[in-house]
Order: sequence, then structure tokens, then C-alpha cells
Amino acid sequence: MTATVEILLMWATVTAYALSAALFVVSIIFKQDTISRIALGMTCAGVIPHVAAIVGRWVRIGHGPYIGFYEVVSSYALIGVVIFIALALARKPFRAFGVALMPMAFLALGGAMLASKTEVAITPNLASYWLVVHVAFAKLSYGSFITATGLAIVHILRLSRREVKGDGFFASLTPESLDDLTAKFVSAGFVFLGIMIAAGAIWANEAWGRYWAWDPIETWSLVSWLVYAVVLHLRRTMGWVGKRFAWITIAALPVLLFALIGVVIVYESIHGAYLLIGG
Amino acid sequence: MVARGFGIIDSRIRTVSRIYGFLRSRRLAVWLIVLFIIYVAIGSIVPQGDPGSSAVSTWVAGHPILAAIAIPLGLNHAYSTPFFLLLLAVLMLSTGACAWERTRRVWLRTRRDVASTKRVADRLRDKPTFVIPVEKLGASDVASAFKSLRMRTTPGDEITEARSGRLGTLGSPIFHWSLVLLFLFVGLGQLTRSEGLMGVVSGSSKPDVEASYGVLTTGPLHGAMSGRLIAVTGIERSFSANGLTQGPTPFIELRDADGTLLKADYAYSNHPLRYRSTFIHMNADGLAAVVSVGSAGSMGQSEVLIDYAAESPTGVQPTMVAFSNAQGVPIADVVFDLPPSAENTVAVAVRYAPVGGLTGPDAREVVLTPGGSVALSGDVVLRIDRLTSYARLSVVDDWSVAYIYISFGLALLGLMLALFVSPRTLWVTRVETESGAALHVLVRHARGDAAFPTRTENAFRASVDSEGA
Repeated sequence: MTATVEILLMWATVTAYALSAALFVVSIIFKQDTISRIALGMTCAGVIPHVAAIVGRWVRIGHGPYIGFYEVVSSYALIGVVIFIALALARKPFRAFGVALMPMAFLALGGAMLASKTEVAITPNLASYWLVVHVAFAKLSYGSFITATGLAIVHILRLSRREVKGDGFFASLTPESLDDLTAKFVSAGFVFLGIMIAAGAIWANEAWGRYWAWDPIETWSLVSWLVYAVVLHLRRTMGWVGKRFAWITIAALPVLLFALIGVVIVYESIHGAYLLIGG
Repeated sequence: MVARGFGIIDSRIRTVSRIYGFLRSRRLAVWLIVLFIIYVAIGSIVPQGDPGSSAVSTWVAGHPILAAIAIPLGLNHAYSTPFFLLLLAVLMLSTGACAWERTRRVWLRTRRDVASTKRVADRLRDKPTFVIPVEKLGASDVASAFKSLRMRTTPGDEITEARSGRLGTLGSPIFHWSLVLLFLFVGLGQLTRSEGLMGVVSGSSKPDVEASYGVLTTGPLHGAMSGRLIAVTGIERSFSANGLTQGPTPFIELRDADGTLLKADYAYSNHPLRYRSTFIHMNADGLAAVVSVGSAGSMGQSEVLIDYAAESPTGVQPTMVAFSNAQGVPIADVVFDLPPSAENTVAVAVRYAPVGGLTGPDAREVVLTPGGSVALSGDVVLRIDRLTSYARLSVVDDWSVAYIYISFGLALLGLMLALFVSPRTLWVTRVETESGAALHVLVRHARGDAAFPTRTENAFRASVDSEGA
């Protein structure tokens, strides 16, 4: 696949995600089940060129989507959207989650499209199986946390409409099930982020002879992990469930996003290259 | 006297109990983690290093107001300040107290389960989680409800018990104990590890002793260096591995002090030479000159390593060397450097002067190729015997790494058990009342699965309904 075809596929994806986001908002406002179905179809239609573009680039340049803002953010958006589709297909009420996730996916991918798309060959330092584990679990953890945040937003919206009857697909989406599912995604993200940190430490030890150096992005990955540790601690040992849990889940996301994007912009770090190359 | 003695013991027990109560507090745990987060986030703003280092001095120049607060507080060494170490110690104690508390609870619960048959029977009769009136319900219906809940049943004479996720109760203790071990191994590892850079000329070796290192950091409890020999038998300029050109790659031999070969391998990116607790990484390569200095008939040979990049860490001998005459009297300072012309790769630039005069008018500079010489002072001559390259090796001795990995792995395993394996228990019995037969169900579950009672009730109602249909 040529770079031009890849870019065309990505723009097709951005368009599909934008339409999908708009349709999900409309479906919630007008409580139209049919529109939500079309929105979900549009999301699925967007995933196809998205996967094709990422796989095509992977094959062309010989490494996975983990070098540069464009590759990193695009792959995170894909993971988030795929999780959403899986949820929405498993249980119809979870279509409501699209109203929170699809605008995020659209904005992330739109931002990625504006960044440099320089193709960077893999360097000897990056040629490690531990890097693959590190990156794979980073994507899984970020996807899980973003999904958890989307669910928490839907949970809060649902709570604000508790008394409304016949409220489209919101009606069958109980606050309890949303709370439970949000907690499951936070838990999964927490475990995945832990594995990501461990794999990164092992990789660092293989590459440089030290497993931890308080590099800013290492530090902020640890900070993110601990922030979610607090979130889970509050839920499991201090009874923060329901609305309070939804709010702290939402409040934790900016820390995670800062660790992903903000740190490499604000700090000088050996990790900076992964996001800023070509940028 | 005896009473007073018991009083002291009582008072001490009360104090220990109070401290334990304080440390196991969930609120304390949360606040300690929050404090840790805030501290390391602030610490990440300030570059870490000595105030004289280029990163710190650049930051100080760019942020004078912040620096006026951060540097006196020691935030340029944020992760080794007494405050941070104290915070880690309290966090470890708190984690240990939580681990102990959780283990105690699991133990008590296990004991209670063994001796609780009568209590369960009483609760089932008087205070069940839910009751389903049934006219006629067979054991197979109960079994189908359990099956739909994916629980293992143990039928009894009157009460049927079903359980799932028993391992889940162990998750939290395993997680917390593993974290305690992680703290311990990290702490002990930092106290006993050594890490340094040494330059070894291709075709020669150096012993693992302090004098061989250009930069060496050792923990306060680190013992003597191993004394093993680290030899670089050769450096391949374009070594390939994993389908990638690795750049200059040394072949390293690690030998015991008596010369026995312990390990030999290439060292390149993500592929250190590893022997027990020793890791040897390729850090960089550079130009090396083997030189002879002295008068005719009494020349002494030495190796001089030349760093390519001025900004790279000084893992080698200084490129300025002070030479002495046969009587040991210093006669000249000499700086060895790369040749002025990048194309002249088989030469070395030599700047020399009488002692202390390198920046003065008496300093001289020549470019020498192998075999070339220059008179330093009187009849003392400096001769370049050969030019070669050296490997700057990062040598780490840290026994704790494997244990840290194992502890963290166990912590993650405990975490997964705690988060995803919810221990659940159900007791079911049939109770005959004046109004008819009823199924009494008692549910016990972990906090992680708040919807379990509802799910259970739905499963039982579905079984009863299907029976009715």
C-alpha cells in the first residue's frame, strides 16, 4: 500500500467517525433507535479503512504503530472504537456509549492527521520483543481507560435521566450495570498499565542496564498507574460507587492523557522520540 | 514490681497496636499514594543531577524563580531526598500492615467457614438474601440455576452450597505482600548495586576493580568489586543481528580472576552480556591510542582513550594525561584528541606543554600517525605505537533485578485475582411454611461484584419459571 492510499483511507475513516459522532448525538437528543443503528454502522464502516491503513503502513515500513504522534494516536483511537463496537454489538444499550467515545475518536484521529506522517525505520534499540509487549499493553490500557471514561460519562448522563421513562436505549442501560462495567474497564486498564510498566522496565534493563531511571515519561506512567490505584482503592475499600466513582474515573483521564501526549511535549525525555519523531 | 512490669508490657502492646491500627488504615494508604503522586510529579519538573551538571544549570538559568525553591529543597535529587525515602518507608509499612490485615481476614474467614454450618442454617431460615415461593422444585432445577451462574455445588442433607472464585480471596493478600517484597528488593538492590562505565581497548582487558572505571556509582552496602577480567577481543564495525545493522559491536569475554572463561558474547542493543548478577552493555565506542613515553631504552607503554563526543558521559580515562620522567617528576601535560580533519582517521591530535601550561603560550600541537613521535621535554619522547578503537562498556552488578521482576509479576497475578475473580458463595435450602414451600437463598460475594445477588435471584427465578412452564 502506498502512502497516498493510506492517507486517503485515513481521511475516509475521519469522515466516517465524524458522521458517526454526529449521528450518535442526534440519536440521543431525539431518542431515535434507528439513527443510533445507522451511527453504529457508520462506525463499523470507518473501522475498515482504519485497520487497512494501519496494517498497510505496518507492512510498508516494517514496524507497528508506535513511532510518532500520528501512528500512536491513530492506533489508540482504533483500539477505543473496536472496544466500543464489541460492547455495542454484545448489548444494544451500550450504543449510548458512542455519544461519548466517537467524538473523542474523531478528535484524536483528526489531530493525528494534522501531525507529521514521517516514516521512521526501526532502530536497533527499538528491536525488542519487550517493546512489542510494552506497546501492546499500553494500547490495551489506554483503550480500556478511555472506554471506562466514556462509560462513566454515559453513567452520569443516565443518572440525570433516571426518572425518564421510555428513554430510547438509555432505558435498558441501568446505572448499576454501567457502574459495574466502568469498574471492570478501570480494573482491566490498571492491570494492562501495570504490565506495560513492567515490560518497559525489562526492556530498559535490556537496552540500558537499568530498569528505572525516573525519566519523565516513566514517572508519569507510574503516576497514572497510582492515580488509578487510588480510584480502585476508593471504590473497593471506601465504598465510592455510582456517581462518585464515575466522576473520579472521568477526573483520572487527563492525567493519563498528559502521560501520553503532554509529557513528551513539556519534558525532554529519551521517550520523546516515540511521539515527536517527524513532528 | 510484677504488676508494674505487666503495665509496661500492656502499654507497649497498646502502642504497637495503635501504630498497627494507624498503618493499616485505608485512608492513610490513599493519602500516602496521593502524597507520593504529588511528590514525584513535582520531582519530574526538575532535571535530576548535580547543580553543576549541564541539564540542571540550563534549567536553573531558564527558571530562576522555580529554581530558587526547588534546588534548596533538593528536588534536583528528588528521588533520594530523606523526605522521599521516608515516604517510601511509610508506604512500605502501610502496605505491609494492609497485607497482614488482609491475610488475617482470609484466615479468619476460612476458619469461620469451617465452623459456620449452624450459623448459615440459622441465617438461611431467618434472614435469607431472597426467598422464592415454589410449589414443586427439584434438585435438578437448583443445579441448573447454579450451572447458569457457573458455580461448583456441594449438595448437603438440607443445605446445598455453591462456590466460585475461591482463589479470588487470595488476590489482595498476594498483591500487597508482593508489593512489600518489591519495595524490599528495590531498596536492597539500590543499596548494594554498582554501575559504572569503563573503556576497554580492542584486544585488551581490564579487571572489574574501581580503578578501571571512568564513572562508578556504588550503593552504600556494595561489597568489593568482583575482580573478574572484562576483555574486548575485537570490535566489529558493521555487525548485524535481528535483521538490523547494530553498529560497532564488541565481542566480550568475562573471565574469573584466575582466567577461567565465564561467558563470551557480542554486546549490542537489547543484547547485553549477562552473567549471574552482572550485565555488560555496549555504551559507545571511541578512538584509542597505544602510546610509549620515555627516553631511549626505557619506554613505558600505556593506553589512551579518546571520547568522540564531548557531551557523552566520561566513561574513560581523561584525555589529558600527565607524563613523568623516570624519576617520577611530572614533565608534561598532554591532551589527545581527534585529528582536526575528519578524513584523517588514522591519526591523533596531540597538544602538549610543560606541566600546567596547556593553555599558555608554550603549548604545542601536532598530528601524529602510528610510529610518529614528539619530544615532550629534554630526551623524553612520546611515540604513537598504534591507533585502535575501544568499547565504552556499561557494567552493572545488581542481584535484585530478577527478584524485582518476580515480585512485580506476583503483584500483577494477585491484582488479577483480586479484580477479576470474585469469590462468591450461595447456600440454598427448601423451607416448608404454613403458606407453602419456599426456596431460601443466602448470597455472599466480594465487593467487586455488586450485581451478583440480583443476577443470582434472576437465575433462580428463571429456573423456577422454566419448571413451571
